[in-house]
Amino acid sequence: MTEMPFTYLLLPVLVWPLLLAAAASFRATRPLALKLTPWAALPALAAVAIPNGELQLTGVMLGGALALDAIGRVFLLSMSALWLATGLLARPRLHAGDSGPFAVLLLLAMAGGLGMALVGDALWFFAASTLAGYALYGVLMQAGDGTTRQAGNLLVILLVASDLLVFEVLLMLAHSAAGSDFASFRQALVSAESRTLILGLLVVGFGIKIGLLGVHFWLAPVFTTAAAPLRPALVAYMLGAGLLGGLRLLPIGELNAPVAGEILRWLAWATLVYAWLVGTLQLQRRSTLAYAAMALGGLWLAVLSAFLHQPGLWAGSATSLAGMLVQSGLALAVLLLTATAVEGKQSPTTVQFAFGLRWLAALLLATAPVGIAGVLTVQADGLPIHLATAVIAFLAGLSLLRREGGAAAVPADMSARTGTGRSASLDMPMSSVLVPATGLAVAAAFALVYQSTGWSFYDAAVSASIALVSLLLGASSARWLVPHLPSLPPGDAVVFIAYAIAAARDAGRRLSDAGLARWPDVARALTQRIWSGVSRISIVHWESALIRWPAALLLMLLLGLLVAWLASS
Amino acid sequence: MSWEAWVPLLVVASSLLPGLIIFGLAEERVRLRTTFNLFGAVVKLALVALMLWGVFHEHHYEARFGLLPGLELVLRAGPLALLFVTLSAVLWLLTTVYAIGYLEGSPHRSRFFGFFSLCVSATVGVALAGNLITFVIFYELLTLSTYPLVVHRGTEAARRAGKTYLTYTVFGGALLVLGTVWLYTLTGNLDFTPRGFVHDLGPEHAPALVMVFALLIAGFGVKAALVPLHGWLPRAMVAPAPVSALLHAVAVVKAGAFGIIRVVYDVFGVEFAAGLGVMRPLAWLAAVTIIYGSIRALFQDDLKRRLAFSTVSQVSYIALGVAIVGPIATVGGVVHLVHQGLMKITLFFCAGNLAETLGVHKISEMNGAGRRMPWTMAAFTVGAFGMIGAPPIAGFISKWYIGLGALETGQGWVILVLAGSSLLNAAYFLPILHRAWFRPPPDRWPVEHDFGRKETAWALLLPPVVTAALALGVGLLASVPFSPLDWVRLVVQREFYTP
Repeated sequence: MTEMPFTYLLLPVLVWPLLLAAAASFRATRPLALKLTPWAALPALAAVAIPNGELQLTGVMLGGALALDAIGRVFLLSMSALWLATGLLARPRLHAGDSGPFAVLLLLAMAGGLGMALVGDALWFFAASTLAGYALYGVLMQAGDGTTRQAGNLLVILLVASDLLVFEVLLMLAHSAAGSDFASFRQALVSAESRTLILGLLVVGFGIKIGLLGVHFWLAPVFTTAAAPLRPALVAYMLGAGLLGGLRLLPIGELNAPVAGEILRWLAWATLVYAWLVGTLQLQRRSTLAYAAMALGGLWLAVLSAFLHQPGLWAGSATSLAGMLVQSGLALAVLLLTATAVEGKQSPTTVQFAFGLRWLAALLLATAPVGIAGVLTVQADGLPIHLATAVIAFLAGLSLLRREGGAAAVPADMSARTGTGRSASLDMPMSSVLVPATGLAVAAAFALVYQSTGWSFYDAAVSASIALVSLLLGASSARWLVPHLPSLPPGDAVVFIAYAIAAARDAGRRLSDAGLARWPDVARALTQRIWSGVSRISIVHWESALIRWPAALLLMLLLGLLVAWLASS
Repeated sequence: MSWEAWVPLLVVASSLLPGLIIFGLAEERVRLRTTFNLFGAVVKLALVALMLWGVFHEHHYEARFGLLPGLELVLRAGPLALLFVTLSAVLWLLTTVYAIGYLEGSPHRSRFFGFFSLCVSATVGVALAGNLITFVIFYELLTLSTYPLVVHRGTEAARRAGKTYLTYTVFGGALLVLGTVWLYTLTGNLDFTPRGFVHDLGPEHAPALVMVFALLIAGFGVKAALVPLHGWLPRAMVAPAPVSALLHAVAVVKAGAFGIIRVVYDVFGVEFAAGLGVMRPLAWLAAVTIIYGSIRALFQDDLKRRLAFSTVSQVSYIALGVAIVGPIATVGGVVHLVHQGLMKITLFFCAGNLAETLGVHKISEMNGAGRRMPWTMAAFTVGAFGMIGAPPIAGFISKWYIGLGALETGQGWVILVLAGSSLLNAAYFLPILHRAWFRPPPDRWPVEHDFGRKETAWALLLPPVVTAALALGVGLLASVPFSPLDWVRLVVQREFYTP
């Protein structure tokens, strides 16, 4: 890509939120910054119209570039729309007292998030995703309560693990890459000796951010406890840090790796089945949607698996895939945002409008895989993709009509802080942003489907049917089946582990209460005895011995004798 | 003597003379003492800038004085020396401002600032040393000038810490002298030479050279806090925060790490040292220190002790980068001298702010500190993330180069050490940030000083904000000309490896 004058217009996308963050840090400029913050994503939205190009910034970090290409444009459009929604919804919070730290963190997360769609360099992508991740964690914690903090702790632990994995992989690739751009890193992966290992680490590293099975524990707790205005930002982060990262760094279409593809296929199956089972048993709409997001991750794995088996499929699928990801991301964001909009103090008109919007979003989410299914199921194993379609649609339908369980606490509505009594989760002016965005996604999806090559009408029709039937099944299950099933709290395995630990502690307490020897005291005394024995020969004790003058003098004497002997021999 | 020969002397004297004058000032002469302090710092900075300009235009700054027959005191401003001198000069100015604010109203300030100035003179002497004997002399002067700073408070804990510090450093100094003397008897030369000066000795001297290397590394390893010679560092945290900042970021540990760099590159030559088989054990020792320091940090509730163990871990990145034996890893190790200095001094300044303003010394007391002192905790956040290695802060650049250098030389195990260390860094820094930003503050702070609308005195707030901005800046702009990274790349390319 060439550097043209208009590529400088990419700079405001990153610089503007950062400038506002700086302004929000100072008391004098804070009021103006807070007024402008809701609109901070506008330069990004405008930048979608800039032609493809690249802006080299060789002095920044280890050198790199901002770049806009077809894939980046699609993600920039969706992510900027989501961030704009976040900004506008966060207005009540921004106008509340002590909103400086919230605004700063929100803007930093925005800058990092939008930056991911614009950077042309692997290290810059890593920097942007790190900034976005930790700033998002911060803003989630700022805006939440005790339950949010617990969920945030899960998120940050997995973020650290993800960033470490990605960092190690980038190091391994940089070692043999010709440059630091994405193409060089992909080429390095293709020619790497430990290709399968690196591929696995990358899939897990990015997979954490989209809720891959085994590292998905943060999804449901964060989805259920995140304040309403931050939910679109959450989806934007998953799109960028999880999916876009994979698209940029994985050598899709360049690598023939059937073994790795087979492993991913089985992982996709496991993820989808797990998401379907656990998602069905969730109490809340938002936790159900968390497992729908997990199922989207399963779909992503199934698609990757198909490309690893048959790299030639990529050429005809790129736009469908990008479109699928964006459409599903936008739809998921709308569903998350409106999850609690159909109850409470809203007016009947608002409730009906929200309901209609939710149906539309669920439909879009369910039919998002149709385009890619139309391409891949022709020549690859279509079963995982059809299963993914079914699971996503089922869970989307389920989240539509299930009644909200009363168990989990929901963070206080943000508008309560300003005392306006209006719901911040569905402002009438806000719908005027969401509805056109959804309409745009619908149109884009259909356009992308028709542009794909190798597209089979029959297979797309099968996929669409599966989606619609599953959607209706999920919606009807919410009324007639699911209320009779046991329920799971959000966080699944983590919750069980916590229960298991608490149960073991309780059992131990009961044992000792029953008159048996107080084993915790016995164990403690034994541990202390062992430790005091060990500490006598521990380094700490050794240090204390060393600092005594006799010990030091003796050491020096021995050393001097040794040196003298060596010098003379 | 040409005027260029005077410049290195003036750089040393710019803090030595004010220091000697400050000793004689009465406690009440606050303004005069502050003037001398700041004047010395500014003059030093100006002289360093002059040397930088001169070296860039290929001027040669060197001063030589006869010490003993065959031995000279040499001060020379080479590119590597200038890197350390610039770091020291910049951080000394900021630490001086900080110390003025921190010690306001405290007793014995003249004594403190007198030794403070001597300490920096010794540090600059270490940086500019042109041969090993000069290095050792200033290295020992550093020990003598920092001891009074460690025991400044005069409490029982301070005296015990001082005794520990002195025992370790004198022991290390003795090893250093032993190694230096032995080296001189073998080679008859002690001048720092690019790519070393011992490679002319025959293979029959290899065992002796190994012993000399071990003695020198052990001697420098005390101040560089290599395990198991690190014990003085956490104990020295009883000293006031400006002293901790100075010890950890500017002077003492850096002098030790700088000594290791000089021994490996300018005494032995890295390729010759690798041939002797001493670099692999040094790498292992550095790796053990990195992990050990991080594990110990995890279990500290005292904030400064946690930062002290973090220093034990972080300084060994320099040794690890040097020991990996490759130009890329060397860049990572040497540039970490600057990066770690900026990040660590930020953290210690912030720790001092919390102690002075809120009476907070322990991490468990830090709940909600970010709401009360947002700028201090913002600076701390930047320093902490830099330590973890999050881009684009300076620490990421160092880790990137060390990791890449390890892969270049086929030592992939170093990646595991870096990963483990980063994980541990996150484990002991993120809870601090969580407490400060997201937990509600207590009803009352342990000992709160009111500064009106300001969170704390400007002299305490400005330095950490500046150093945090520098830590962010040198990472973000790592590739611009004359950045520390650019500088180090040039040094490594020209001086350390055979072209």
